[in-house]
Amino acid sequence: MSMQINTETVSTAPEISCHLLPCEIHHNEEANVCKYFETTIRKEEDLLTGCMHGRPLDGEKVALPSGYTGLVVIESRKAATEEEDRMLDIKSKFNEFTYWNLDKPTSKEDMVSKALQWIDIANILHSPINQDECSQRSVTGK
Amino acid sequence: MDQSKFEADRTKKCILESEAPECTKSEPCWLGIDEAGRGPVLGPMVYGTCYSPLTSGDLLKEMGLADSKTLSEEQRESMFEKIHEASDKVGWMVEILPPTYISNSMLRRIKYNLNALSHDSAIGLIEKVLAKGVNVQEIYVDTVGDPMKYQNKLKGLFPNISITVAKKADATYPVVSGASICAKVARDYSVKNWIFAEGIDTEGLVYGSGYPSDPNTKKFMSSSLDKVFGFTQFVRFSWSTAALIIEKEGVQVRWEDDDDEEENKDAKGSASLLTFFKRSDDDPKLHRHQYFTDRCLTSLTNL
Repeated sequence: MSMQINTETVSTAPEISCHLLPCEIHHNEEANVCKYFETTIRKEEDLLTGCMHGRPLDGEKVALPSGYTGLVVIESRKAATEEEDRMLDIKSKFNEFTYWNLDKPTSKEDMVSKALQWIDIANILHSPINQDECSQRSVTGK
Repeated sequence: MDQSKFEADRTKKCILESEAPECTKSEPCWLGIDEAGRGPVLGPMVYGTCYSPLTSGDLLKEMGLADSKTLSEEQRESMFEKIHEASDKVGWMVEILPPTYISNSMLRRIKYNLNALSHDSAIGLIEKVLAKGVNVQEIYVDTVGDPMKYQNKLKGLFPNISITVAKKADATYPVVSGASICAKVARDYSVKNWIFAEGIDTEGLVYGSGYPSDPNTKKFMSSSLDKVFGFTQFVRFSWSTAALIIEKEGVQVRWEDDDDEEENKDAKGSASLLTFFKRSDDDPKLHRHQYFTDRCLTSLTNL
């Protein structure tokens, strides 16, 4: 069994806003984000604040690294058997998202910022080494 | 009462005030403080102050100022009109503390309780009136908590002013009645003219007194509940009534600072001695590097 995303509709998928909240919401359906959450967001001198269930949140917008697109996918049809491939369709896409801390100003030490550093490191690790630039030799440990 | 300043953003606390009459800057004055809408689960809480020269005691009495709770809404409004008309002798200031501000304060990581919040609002009003150059000599404050503690706190902050904190001061001192009327009129106005950012139509909407015990208030809360986000910004999430409805009728939401009973259970008791002799199949070489665990990064092959 493998999992595939039907990418044909990437270009036509609607762009949406996306929020990463510092709480676990036991709900996997649509929610009134525009009406009930985005109406609480305020921006003062680049600092974003919002609130969820009356709790104060501090937020920061994060642009996705270049070359990446955020996708919201949906499994329109559940695979009938375990062997069958699963197919996911694109519902919408995003190029930035806002992550929120619970009553704590955002910083470079936040998990999201730190996790995204890996993308730069992975790019370097996985790009071919150019012989001319390779001035350092690997350490053999002898 | 013009509240356009507050209506520009109903999530932020807001001061509304009259000009300080010239005579209050030269003549010694008294200042009363009272609050409105402390108990309700709906709408803002308002702190109000009213001040005038000590010699204007009769004027305040003639105006018929009385405890705002014994007056009808119309009577309170006409009293506020009178205070407004006496603007050459009487000054006022109110601070509107909207539900969002109250909830956010009470539900911080480090809780800021309603008493501290109330005291700070009252102290803020006194400081702002003093900053206008008003010659305040006597302060009268209505309280719901312990009067002595509160009085000592205020005396420490304003050592040169005579301070009286008393229960039901709004019925005893006309200047406190004035403050109570300003606060109550501001609260009523803000509730009546509330516009829901969430797009709820207020036409024909009934939400009762806003007190948790009012059946209409309860009905409004249950019917306007959003399963995920709970209530509108008109509701004080920090009231137990609100929290209970969310817990019962909304989807489950867990926060990182929720007390986790499961975890506590594990912490109880110590491991059996035998576990220390068990052979471990756990190969540390197969563990992901700390770089990844620190960042909560795991590889994903399936959803």
